Amino acid sequence: MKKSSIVLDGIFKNNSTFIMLLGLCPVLATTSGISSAIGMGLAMLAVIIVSNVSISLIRKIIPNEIRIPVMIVIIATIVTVVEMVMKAYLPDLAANLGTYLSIIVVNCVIFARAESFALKNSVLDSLLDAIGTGLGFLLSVFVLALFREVLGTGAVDFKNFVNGETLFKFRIFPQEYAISIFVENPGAFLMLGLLVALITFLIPTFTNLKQKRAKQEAQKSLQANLVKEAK
Amino acid sequence: MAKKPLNNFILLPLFLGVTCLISAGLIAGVNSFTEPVINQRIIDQKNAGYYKVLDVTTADEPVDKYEDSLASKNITGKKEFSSGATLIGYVYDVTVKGYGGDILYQVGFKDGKFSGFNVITHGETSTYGGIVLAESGRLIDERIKGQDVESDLLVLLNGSDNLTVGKSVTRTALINSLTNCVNDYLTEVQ
Repeated sequence: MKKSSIVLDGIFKNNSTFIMLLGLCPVLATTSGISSAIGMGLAMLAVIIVSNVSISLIRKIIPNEIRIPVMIVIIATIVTVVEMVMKAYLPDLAANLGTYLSIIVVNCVIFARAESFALKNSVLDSLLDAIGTGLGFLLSVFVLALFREVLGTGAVDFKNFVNGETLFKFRIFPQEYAISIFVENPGAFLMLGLLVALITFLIPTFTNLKQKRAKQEAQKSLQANLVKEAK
Repeated sequence: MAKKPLNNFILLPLFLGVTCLISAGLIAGVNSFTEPVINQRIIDQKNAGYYKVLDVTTADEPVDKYEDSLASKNITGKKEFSSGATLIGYVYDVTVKGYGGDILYQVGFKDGKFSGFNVITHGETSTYGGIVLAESGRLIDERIKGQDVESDLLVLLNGSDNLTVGKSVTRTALINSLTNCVNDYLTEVQ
């Protein structure tokens, strides 16, 4: 498997949120604004990279019978460390993410990558897989939060992770036209459903288009060969 | 053949034990440098909060009026603020258990009235109990500031929109601890 496709698969083809629909609890809860979504995405990226690399490093010595508890201990340690560092240096972000930061411990995306990839592959491949999956998660929460915040408030408001002050605010349309349900809890389900439906519709369309083009090119080259042979 | 189960009986818990030990060491190591940063920030926020809840910009060095008996009422600090010979008011530091963990807040009293409310830290989720504690407890501050200390706290906090209904653990913790502070303040000034 090509190194680049390991990363790209995690971002697009096997995107944990929009394609595999895994670990949706923090996705739904932390995407009411882009600041908390980016924070959650970065925390997840850090945890998945360290967990995949450490599990891959010791994969040959982990006894198969206790691989699950060992993985839980490793992932819980990484999440606790990330949480402590965030509380110390990014207090506002840590306060915004609240419990959802702690429950990364039981996020099935991290477990899935550890169990199905890091335990069976080299450290470099596991690192690339973690980068791909983490970036895929970051991209999905960012897209979801962007749509929710823009439709729900009419603006994009990016806050400082340290003190919660607004770094930049960009108004797209007046507040009175905003559909506030999108920044509320039901809006998370609605928007996720809409985006999943859109992506599910677009994937076969693009695949068919690609296949059609490949078919047309094959026919063209066949015709060109036939013409050549006839001459 | 009989050797393997015995080996596993010892080896598997040993491996898990070593993994836990390494993890505990790592967490302890990180905690040793993050804890002072977190504690210092809480101290800074508390010091700034004293003036905020009393709605004053300057005061003399506060007098520590804390007694051990207050610990059972979730009160972790009590300070008396004066300016020269004039008493400004009292500020209580409170730590209570909310639904999402410890809530650390300050409440101030001045001239028989609530003078302010300030949340230092809390672990409530932003869309549920956190709504009442967001922005350092601005909503609660707005509802109790300037109100007589003997007013019904539940009525004050609920307001017209039943703000605290449905957040029973956090609401009960807040109301009980605020009541404890009010009772102590009344004893202090009488």
